[in-house]
Amino acid sequence: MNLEKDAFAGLVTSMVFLTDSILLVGQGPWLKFFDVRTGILLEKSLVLPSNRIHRLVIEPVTKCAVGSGIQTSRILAYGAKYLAQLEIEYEVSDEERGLDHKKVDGAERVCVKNMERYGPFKDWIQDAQWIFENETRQQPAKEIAIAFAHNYVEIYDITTGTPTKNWYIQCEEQCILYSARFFGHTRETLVLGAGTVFNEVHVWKVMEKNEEGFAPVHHRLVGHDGVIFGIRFDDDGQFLVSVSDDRTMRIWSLKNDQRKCHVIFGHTARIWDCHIVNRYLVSVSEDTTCRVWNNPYLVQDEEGGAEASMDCLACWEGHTGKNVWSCAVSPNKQLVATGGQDSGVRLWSLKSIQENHIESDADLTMTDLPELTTYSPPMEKPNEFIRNFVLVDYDQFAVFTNLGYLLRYDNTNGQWTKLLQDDDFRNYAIMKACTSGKLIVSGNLQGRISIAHANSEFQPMKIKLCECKILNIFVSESKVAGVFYIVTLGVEGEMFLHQLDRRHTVEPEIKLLHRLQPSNLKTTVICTAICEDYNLLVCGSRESALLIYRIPALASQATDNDPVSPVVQLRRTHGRQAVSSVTLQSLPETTAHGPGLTLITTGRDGCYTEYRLTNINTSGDHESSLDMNADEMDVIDDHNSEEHQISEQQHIVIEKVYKNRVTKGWAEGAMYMDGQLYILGFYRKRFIVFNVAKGYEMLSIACGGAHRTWHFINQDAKLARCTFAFFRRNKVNALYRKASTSKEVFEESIQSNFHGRDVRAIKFAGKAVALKESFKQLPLIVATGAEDTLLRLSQYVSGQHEGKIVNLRTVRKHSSVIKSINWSIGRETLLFTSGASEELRCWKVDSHPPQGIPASAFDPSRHLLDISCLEWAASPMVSDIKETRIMDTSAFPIDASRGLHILAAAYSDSTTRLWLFDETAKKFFLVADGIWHMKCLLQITHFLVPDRPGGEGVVIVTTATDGKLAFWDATRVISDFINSYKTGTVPSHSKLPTPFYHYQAHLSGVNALDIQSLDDGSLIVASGGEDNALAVNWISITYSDHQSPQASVNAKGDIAKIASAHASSVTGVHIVGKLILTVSTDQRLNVWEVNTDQGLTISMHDAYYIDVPDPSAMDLIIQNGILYVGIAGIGFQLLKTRIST
Amino acid sequence: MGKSSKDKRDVYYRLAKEQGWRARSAFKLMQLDEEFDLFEGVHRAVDLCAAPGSWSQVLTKRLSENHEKNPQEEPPKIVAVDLQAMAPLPGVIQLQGDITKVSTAEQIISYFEGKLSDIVICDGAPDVTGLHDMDEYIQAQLLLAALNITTHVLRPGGTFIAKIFRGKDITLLYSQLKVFFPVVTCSKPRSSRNSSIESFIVCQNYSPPEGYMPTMANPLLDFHYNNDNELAGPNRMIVPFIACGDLSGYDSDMTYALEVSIISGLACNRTISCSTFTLQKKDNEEYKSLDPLQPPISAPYLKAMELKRNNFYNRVA
Repeated sequence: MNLEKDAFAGLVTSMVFLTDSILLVGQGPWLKFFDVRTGILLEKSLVLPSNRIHRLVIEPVTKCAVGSGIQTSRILAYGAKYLAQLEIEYEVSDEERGLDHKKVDGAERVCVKNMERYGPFKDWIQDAQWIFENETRQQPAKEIAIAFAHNYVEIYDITTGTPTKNWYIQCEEQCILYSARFFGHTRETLVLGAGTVFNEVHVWKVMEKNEEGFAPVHHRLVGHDGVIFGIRFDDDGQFLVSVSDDRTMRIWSLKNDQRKCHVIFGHTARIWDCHIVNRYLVSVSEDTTCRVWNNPYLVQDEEGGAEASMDCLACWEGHTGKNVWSCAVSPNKQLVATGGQDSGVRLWSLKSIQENHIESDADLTMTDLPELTTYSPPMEKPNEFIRNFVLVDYDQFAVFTNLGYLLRYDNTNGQWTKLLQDDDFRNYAIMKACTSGKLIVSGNLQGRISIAHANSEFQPMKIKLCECKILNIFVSESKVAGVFYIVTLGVEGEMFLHQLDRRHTVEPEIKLLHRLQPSNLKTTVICTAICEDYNLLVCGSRESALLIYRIPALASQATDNDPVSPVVQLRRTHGRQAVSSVTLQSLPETTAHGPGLTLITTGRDGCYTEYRLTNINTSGDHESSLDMNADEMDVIDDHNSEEHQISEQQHIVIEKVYKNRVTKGWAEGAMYMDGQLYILGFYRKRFIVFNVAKGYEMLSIACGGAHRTWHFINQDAKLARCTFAFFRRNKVNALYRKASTSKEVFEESIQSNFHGRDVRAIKFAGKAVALKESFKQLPLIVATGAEDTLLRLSQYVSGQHEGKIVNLRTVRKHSSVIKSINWSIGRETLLFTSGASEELRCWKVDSHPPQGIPASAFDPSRHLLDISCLEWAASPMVSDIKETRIMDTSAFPIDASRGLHILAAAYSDSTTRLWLFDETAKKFFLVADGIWHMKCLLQITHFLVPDRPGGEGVVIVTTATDGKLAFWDATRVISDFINSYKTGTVPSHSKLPTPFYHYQAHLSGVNALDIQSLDDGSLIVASGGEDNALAVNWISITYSDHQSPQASVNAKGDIAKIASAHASSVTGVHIVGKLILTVSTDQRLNVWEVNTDQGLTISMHDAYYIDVPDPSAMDLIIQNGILYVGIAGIGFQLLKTRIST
Repeated sequence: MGKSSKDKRDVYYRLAKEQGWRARSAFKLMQLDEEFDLFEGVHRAVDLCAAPGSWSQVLTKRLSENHEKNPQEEPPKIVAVDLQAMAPLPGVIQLQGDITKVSTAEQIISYFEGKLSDIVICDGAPDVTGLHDMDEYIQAQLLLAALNITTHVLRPGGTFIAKIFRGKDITLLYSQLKVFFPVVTCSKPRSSRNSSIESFIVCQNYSPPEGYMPTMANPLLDFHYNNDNELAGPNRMIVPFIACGDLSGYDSDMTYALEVSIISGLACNRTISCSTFTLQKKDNEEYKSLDPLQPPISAPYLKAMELKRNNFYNRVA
């Protein structure tokens, strides 16, 4: 077996910019080179085998002239006690010289020309520095200085083959350092800032010795209440910033000792690093954010006030889970890169801070009414003010005044234009606009609507709809150019749908398509969406209801049709909060579900919900209306039950696919931009645009809150062109945004996020994703669950420099850690997830090729599987204690054709429980339980016995913290239950019989277990323990149908035990043929050979170092002739080897 | 390390509160004692990184039991060293000092009137950062600092016990310890949670290399991988593992019902052995939530916590 390391996801511990466009990233032992303009990985190099790269230091040699062409650079990369020196060659593109930047195809080229590895050194390295002969730094550095954790520095000559030590100095303070940073590039100027375990920062000169031969401390910076995790100097060495366990950053002036340091609070957890970037401080923290602050020294000098200067200018929240570990600033100080625990590498624009974070009114344009005389005849005591407004274009809005004037304002030239005056609209006007048609539709107190064109292309028109006040108006455009729809809502609940047609004439033709009957729910519609493909109108209401109307006239084009009533009424879709927006999108046509619609609703509970609407084109004649509580949603999906087929044909099928809370405030709208979902909302007096897929706030504007009239229009995915306007203090306040150039718009994420906390469960899908499609080549899909409570479905994608684990779906439903995942294939593909708080959930997984790609042409190296995870059921809570954890599960279909599955679960209260899951009922039923170990269970698995007397047998095997393995015969309890269940009665659960076999395999907890049967029917049982041991047992079991116990066990040899299989607890065991793979907390993957020729013997076959710390789960799969090994812990690593069949 | 916060309130946490131990770690030392009989004939003991003091509590209990049995022998002497101040404990001499200083070693020996200690124990651990290699390194340095001062104060033949993190480079530490102790065992008490990276190293029969002169001038550093101790492979230096604590006792991973009373002594007492265990309900008594006996004396984030209480962070975000 020759395992080769492939995809890796893990902590990004170091990064540095080589140029403004090339970013170097240290992740695990690898150094990666990215082009930040394109996000392309240019090169990847293994730098420190068996250590992670903690820091990267570029040789700061002064370049004479920057021209295009080949450049070289030297880099130090170190981690733990090892250091590598790399020489790299790269091409400076035209953009580096400030010319044309649009050169996406001609990506940067980087290659590693030379690499020398040094070490191990005596001690852990805390910093390294290039040392030049003089500060002009025109000649290459001949020496390097290394600072070690015991507070000493060594200087090495690197011009010789092996570095020779020229200088050694110990600081007078001999204590362990958590961090250190050099300043200066010559021996004479070199100082070390040392962060001690005793909460102090010491600055000392490397060439200075006292009488005892130690370096004296020059500055003692005392004040932190915790150990120092990071230190940086500014470019001149005037300031030093330190970050600490005490959640503060402190900035110290080194020039003037009298000045107190500035203490900055704001991060909600420990701070790992902070850069001084001109007037800003950029810090990264355990709280998963990167924040930007004013440098209090500089700002104070400018503005005189210290208090205001402590404000956080930006909080960048794009990483998930916990910790942003690393951070780099580009040479031009425009870009910040951050690296997280989640494996993500993200980019942020320092320039964008002002553009994206609108703090003060000064950044907004405020517009008041012009002089009355410019549009009205003079009048006495005019008290004219704006009654309402609406955006009609990025630079235009329209207002109705209290005197009934409709005026248009153009921000490009500051001109006001009178469109109409109508006394009917005095003191009240509800207004909506359609930017594409420049239509302004207004409603008044007498039930009339007025339709005007912003550029007066046609004469304003007025229609009487009802006798009461118009409460709301919704305008949308048709797919057909020149056609628009207007929904008008009267105060008594009556609604009208009009079509406005300008295709044939300048003056619009208006016809009433339908009156819409109010819902019997007595609810007020506040948002609507129209779908012409399926002739639907979807409405959301203030009382949290979702209404769907069929609109036959959309197809027939007839006028004066019968009133229509809602065919679907969903109540409590956002708890009791208002549904603030509804958005419709077509489902891709190639999906197994299609054709259909995706419906997104947002609510004032801060959530958005994704629904799938299918079976829409049903005959509407005898359709029964559907009235549901959204909490009971999943019962509506009836694909699998035959008796429901008929009823299914009668109405729309609506399935809740996903629900997530994106803000603690209100979610107010949804937009799809380049296939990405953006949510608009308000939180703490700010308007925000949230990018759901990438998880960050794209725009944030201090506007006072959501209670005022507001409008937002946007053109592009990067919000380069957008306008946000709101009404405040009788003025229209607006942000008109037109990003100056596309130069500043970089890829925001150049390496995508994985789990941000420890991964605890991993299972490859194998054929489970190919239940309904036959792929040309099966993609490698893996499901992972973690401490971050997320379930992720990812696809392995091979690549030029590295394979990647690409996220396909992230599901947030568990309330705490997911410890176990199982696939089971019945009529549908099911996924069972379980973990702490006794959560056990069942998901229906659908997968198909992406739109436009038939399965027969699916290429997993180029195409991503379209996979969805529908929530089907959760098991009831059965233990008495709510802290009970489900430690492990094992699942299999017991009757695939009827959709019946058995799930065996090991609980922390020592109970083994067997569940039946029925796809038709979408419910868990408790079959049996039993207690034997009297200790916390750790592992559970099952095997089937096909040739057992009396039918197929089921044996459950459990392990616990007592070091024992127990074998339970579950055949009878399962078959009795299922036989009764199939006749229509749900029996009460029974007790599992006492285990028929058990043995003491380990001294303490058994963390890993795998069972494989040999050709003769005997079994190999391999287990790994907390005691470092691997135990292998070879047994054969004889079953009997009548006697008790129902099975007896013959040992085929002594238990083979490797007591010191690892140096730490064994956390994963898998048997592959004659080999056993074990993984352990000591970060090794060991391969053992099983020999059954004479008794049972185990010998070591191979050992690998693993780059994932704290590995806690392992899974294997053989697919397309390749054995894949997935190891999950703090991150994920995939190893593979081609196997001969 | 590496456990979900949901698991923190285990049965030993509750037991410690009920029985008056300053921390749940008291059970770890008691269970190690059950296995290794650590305190037989011990009169002088040193507790390094002692705060909050639960191991010193165990020392006091066991050593005074020794003295009660053999009153003719010298009375027990216990020195507890920590950088932090610790609430006083009867029968324990407290020394607020740095274990990397010679003066600290000299002070310990002066308390023992020139004699050396029979046992040195150290339950110290840094706050983990989440960078596993760094955390393991810092823990190893703490242990080596403890070992270094131990070479000054431990009598030949004595015992040294310390906490370790069994991570990727643990075998380097094993090699270093084997230089000073012929018998080194890695042990995991049942009160230490399964799959927590923590274990304890029990080093017996202190035998420094011939001519070894204890010094504080140069800190002991851990070793490197070489041919005798490979990075990966069959020849790695792995010391034997022993689980300790009565198998019939409480399980730190198991979920127990709160209203169940704790049977004192069952968790850790070598005189009680139960082949089966039962949980009894205390009559007419409801479970009361107890405060921890010894809250942390100072935490680095106290000021940040205070700000949080005053809604500081809401203003910033």
